[in-house]
Amino acid sequence: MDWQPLFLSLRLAVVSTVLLLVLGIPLARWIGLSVAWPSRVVRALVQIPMVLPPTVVGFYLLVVLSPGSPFGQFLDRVVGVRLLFTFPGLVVASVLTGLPFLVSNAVAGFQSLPPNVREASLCLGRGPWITFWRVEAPLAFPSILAGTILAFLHTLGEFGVVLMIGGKLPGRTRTVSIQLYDMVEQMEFGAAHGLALLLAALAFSGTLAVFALQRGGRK
Amino acid sequence: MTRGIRAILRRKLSSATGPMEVEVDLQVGAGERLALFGPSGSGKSSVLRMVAGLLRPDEGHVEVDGVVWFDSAARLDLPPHRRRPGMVFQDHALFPHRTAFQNILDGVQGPGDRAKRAREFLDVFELSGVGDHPPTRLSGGQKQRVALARTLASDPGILLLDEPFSALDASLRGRVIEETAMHLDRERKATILVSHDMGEVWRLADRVLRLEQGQVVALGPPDSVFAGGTSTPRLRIPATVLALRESEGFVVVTASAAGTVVRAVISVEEARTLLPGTSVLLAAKAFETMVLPLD
Repeated sequence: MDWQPLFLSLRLAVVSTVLLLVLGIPLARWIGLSVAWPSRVVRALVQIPMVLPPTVVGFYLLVVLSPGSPFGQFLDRVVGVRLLFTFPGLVVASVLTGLPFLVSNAVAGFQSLPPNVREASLCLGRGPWITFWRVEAPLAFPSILAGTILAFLHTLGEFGVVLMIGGKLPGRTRTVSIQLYDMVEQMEFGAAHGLALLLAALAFSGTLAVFALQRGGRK
Repeated sequence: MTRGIRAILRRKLSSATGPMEVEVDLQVGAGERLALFGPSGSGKSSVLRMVAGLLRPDEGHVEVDGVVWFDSAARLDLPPHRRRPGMVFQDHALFPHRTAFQNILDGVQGPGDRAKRAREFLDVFELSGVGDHPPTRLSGGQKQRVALARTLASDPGILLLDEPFSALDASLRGRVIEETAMHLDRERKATILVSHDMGEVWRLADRVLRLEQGQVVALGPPDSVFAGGTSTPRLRIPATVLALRESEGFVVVTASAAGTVVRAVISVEEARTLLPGTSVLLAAKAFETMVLPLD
């Protein structure tokens, strides 16, 4: 069996998850603690990829990132990156589609902080940054981790968006879920069974871990 | 430089009964303890939060030991972590993921052996036995002690206590108030105490500022604010009426004061304004006990 797509998917999931954490946690904290209306608008925007068909997300990415579009031209000429049919492009798409999984969980975590603990930390003379690391992040950690696992698993199995903007270039954009699709098309059902079972087992154990975390967070 | 707290605050708030304007001008001398007393929703906690920097006044000036913390005209507003206001919260606000010892450690300021300092606080507050317990395993009184120890460990210039005993059982309250009084006496910092409990105010405060609908309605020592200035050298104890029983033209009043139950016989006339739950003042009159309604 060709293991390259699985390793590609894992690499994609790891890289996207790291970027997701960097982007998603500050975003989730802002959404979670802000009472102003812009935070609700941003939250809705972040959430959209979760409810849209992946092909729709993929289509718009295709439109925005194509070398013919102004943004695509800017990326190509000024930044010097092409995102269509490349690994970095898949990363951008995965971050976009994984964001709602991380953010919705992390927002819930930040919103469930006991009242006053943040203020208590500030009043002890610890600034917002230290308060974030010593109080907010540890208390929201189970929710952040649950969201991270879900986003990771989702990226590992993403199919529609990846196919739309990545094509299926072996070694570059042909991920494990596309490999599975190809196997079925070529009627290699034995191999397909093995791969599907592997992905299902990963998803199951990850989801199990998430539920365990959510129970622990409520105790 | 004036020592203590000087705060002139104005802010519109929306309360349960509609919009309300909090307007307060207060001064607390060095080492003095001022109680903000009033019914819930009268703006007491908002005043405290404005001094702490957790709520921004629409207009005003806050100065502590000569340092300006807030000034609307000068557009100056120090954030809470720069004010370090010595706040003790109503629900204690202990960090749930930290042990009792670590909670206190989080308060300890400055260089040096912080763990040693925290252990000293643990000892003074008689918490050594529960130092490694998380807040969920502490009793109400222990939580309150950890909260106060943590705040004092941060070596604040002033203390702001927001209904610090309201989360406690009535049975514990009296003792915890006594303990707190002892610790506050040792530190003698300018303190603002928010409370709606007369006994607490009486025990802890030098002066009372009575707040209603955001406005100051009385200011002075507890006995003049609560007992209309009829202060005498006689023994007086604030108490709460538990029961009233009429018998042969008299009324037997049972009242609780500082953890003990006191019984007094008064006339039907005197008992007319009393109900179980009424706050009263017990005073010694020759060989009998007098019951004076408060409020």
